[in-house]
Amino acid sequence: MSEQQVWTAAAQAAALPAAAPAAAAGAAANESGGSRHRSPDLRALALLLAILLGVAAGVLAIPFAFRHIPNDLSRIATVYAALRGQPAIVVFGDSRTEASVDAAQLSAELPGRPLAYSAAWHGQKFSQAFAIARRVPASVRIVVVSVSLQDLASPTPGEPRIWEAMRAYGWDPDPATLKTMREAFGGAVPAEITRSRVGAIVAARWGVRQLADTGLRALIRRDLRLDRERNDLFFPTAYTQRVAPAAFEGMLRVERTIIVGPTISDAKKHLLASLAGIARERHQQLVLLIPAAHSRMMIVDHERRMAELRAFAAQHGFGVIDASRWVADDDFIDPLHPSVNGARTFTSRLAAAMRGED
Amino acid sequence: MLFHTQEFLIFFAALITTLALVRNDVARKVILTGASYFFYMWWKPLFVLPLLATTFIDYTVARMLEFEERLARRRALLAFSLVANLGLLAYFKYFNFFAENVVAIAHAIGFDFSPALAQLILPVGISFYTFHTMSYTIDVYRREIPVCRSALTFALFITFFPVLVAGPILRAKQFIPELQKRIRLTLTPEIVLLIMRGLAKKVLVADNIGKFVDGVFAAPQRWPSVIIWIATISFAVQIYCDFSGYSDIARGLARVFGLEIPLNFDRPYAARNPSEFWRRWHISLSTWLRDYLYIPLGGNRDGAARTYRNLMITMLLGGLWHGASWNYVLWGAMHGTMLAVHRAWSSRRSHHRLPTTDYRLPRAKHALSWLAMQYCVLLTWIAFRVTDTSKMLIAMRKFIVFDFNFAIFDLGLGALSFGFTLVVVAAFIIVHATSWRFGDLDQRIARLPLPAAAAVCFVCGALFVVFWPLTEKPFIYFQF
Repeated sequence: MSEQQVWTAAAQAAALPAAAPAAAAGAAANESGGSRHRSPDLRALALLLAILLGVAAGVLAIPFAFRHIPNDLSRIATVYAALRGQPAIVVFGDSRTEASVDAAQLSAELPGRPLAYSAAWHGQKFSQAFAIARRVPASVRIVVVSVSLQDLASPTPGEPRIWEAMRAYGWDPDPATLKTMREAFGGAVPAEITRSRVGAIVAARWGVRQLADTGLRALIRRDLRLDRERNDLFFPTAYTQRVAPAAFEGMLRVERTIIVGPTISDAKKHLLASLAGIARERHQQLVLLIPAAHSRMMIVDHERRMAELRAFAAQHGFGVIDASRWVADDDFIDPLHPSVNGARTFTSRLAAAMRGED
Repeated sequence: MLFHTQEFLIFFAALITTLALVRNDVARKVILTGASYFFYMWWKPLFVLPLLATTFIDYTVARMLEFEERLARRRALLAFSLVANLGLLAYFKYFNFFAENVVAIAHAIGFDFSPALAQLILPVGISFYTFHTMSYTIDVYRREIPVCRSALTFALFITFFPVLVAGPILRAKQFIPELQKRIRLTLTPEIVLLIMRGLAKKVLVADNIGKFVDGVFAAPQRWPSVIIWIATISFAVQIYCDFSGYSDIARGLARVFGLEIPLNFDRPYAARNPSEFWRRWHISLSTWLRDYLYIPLGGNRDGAARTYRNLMITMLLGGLWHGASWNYVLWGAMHGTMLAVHRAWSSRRSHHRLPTTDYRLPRAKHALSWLAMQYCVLLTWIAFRVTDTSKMLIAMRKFIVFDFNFAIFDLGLGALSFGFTLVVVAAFIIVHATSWRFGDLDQRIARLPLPAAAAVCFVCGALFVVFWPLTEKPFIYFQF
């Protein structure tokens, strides 16, 4: 008896229960494959090919799906579309700017009622505003970039998901932007910017999986007016309801930060200088706006940092507006976001500042 | 190297190409063994040393057992093998756990004792391959199987890469006969669909649920009962899909080489009692524990009390096998208790000549026993998932004492992909129930006309792209 025969006999004698279903399944599978199909290998190859074609179709479908399925960053597409128009003023920033600036009111309070757009979206950082602001149309006379002191001090380029969404909605970095970003961030330049178009599309697949959550949120929280947040180019987020006191205190604990490091990180200095240069070339006015915050959110060395920022701005020829105390504490719905009343005050002050009265 | 990564795809393509170019069977087995070592060393090359040591020791011990007739010497050889294997496992997996507990006890009784703990990294798959080799040596000792004289075959049995790091736990009597056949490269629709099924379970279901489950169990005190319930059900789906997905891929890959490895899962959530659950869940571990621990302890031969004791010891050690942490011990204890209670209940029914066979039970009782079993299994999953004892107790309390708080939509669940998780879990339950009712979907798809089967594959390929996780997630059982 050969060793193989001995082992086969041992296996048959053992006949472990766990092996039985597997062997049966395997046998059944082979049987079905063998009896019904003359060339099972070709059939298998055809199925593999179908999977690969499915993968390719998935890659092709992602940009379409991303554009047509709402997600929490769909507003970026609206902003892109708006910047193909003829605005005279654009205001960049994050959710604080969305809730602070009513561009229609701003327009109404300025001489000649120039068309103003809010190009803010939630989570937008200065690096991302920089990438878009470089390409505003020639009609734009004033570029307002709302940026927090924390963001200016930070050497990081912003949340990867936002870069992915920007690319998925059609933004691709031109060589000059890429060069500036590389100079600013060195090795930390986001992979989302440098990767290929196909890579960027595949990376943005999270937009599709958000469908369920966006749909559920829209269904349950009709009061949030998510369509307005997505599509309104003037005042995307009008908050009316204050969060509960306990939640407010909790947010204060989470949000309150002490900034360490320089007033402006080297990376942000580079981007600011570059943006100021472009604005000068195009005869546009660049204004840096420090957003409003609840008094308990004030940074300890706020004044020192503002003085340094103003000195840097004077050196590079752009304006700085400190709006951090423009909104009364009662007009905040949480430590960072003004209510509708707060936004009204904020916008009036901004208009006054633009008119040179404040 | 994970099955669902680019590196593995390149590795596997290179291996298949090489094997296709080689006709000699021994050469093919040499290549396959070498590739298995390469696969293992990809993670940390030095950890091949315990694997080599285990292989060498058990091969040598078995060869010596072949010619040894004296019982005392045979026992000594077996003891040597067990000490070596369990010693490796104990050192890498349990040393720090043991030391930490000794320190905790010392502190509790007033001794200030803080020894430096070793910075140990657990070699991936050590729990699996030590069980492979131990079963072989024990079976040779028991003369249940012949000795494997070919060092190459034995090395391939231990290192065969599809099962090396997360099972199924192979038995020599099952797998060595497979390895003595010719390595025959095979690609059938069933193989393609089995691998696709495994990948779908892993990347479409398990990985997409993880974010929500992790978020909820990181702070169970934040969430009402309904969310704890949904998270627990989601985890039950996640761990099943993660582990059985791995097993499906492993079986599919083995079949590519013409080798058959045993089934590891057989619709465990269809179980209506704990015994049935363990006949369906991680079958290779449960049968291993049965044959090498429960039965040697005496099984059910020495009366009810000893049976319960044996069940408890087996499940406690089974729990501890999963990881050096008390929550796994608790998980094992819960399952041991369930098995003992079920056994006592069955014995009582049998004693009173009550009908015990399932087919005599009315449908409502079936449903009730199924619900009770699933409730218990879900509760045990909390113990398995939450390692922090205080958080575990909070989660269990909220699971057991339902608070009827359904105000869940202002809790920031969107950030945890709650809606998407619900969709994935619901889709899985529908597909799973369908396959439970009508048979495995992959086998049904394999029997469809080619255009229909290809259409399913096409859709699956597209889903892979869209729902592939954004970050690479290892299989949960890799940590064991």
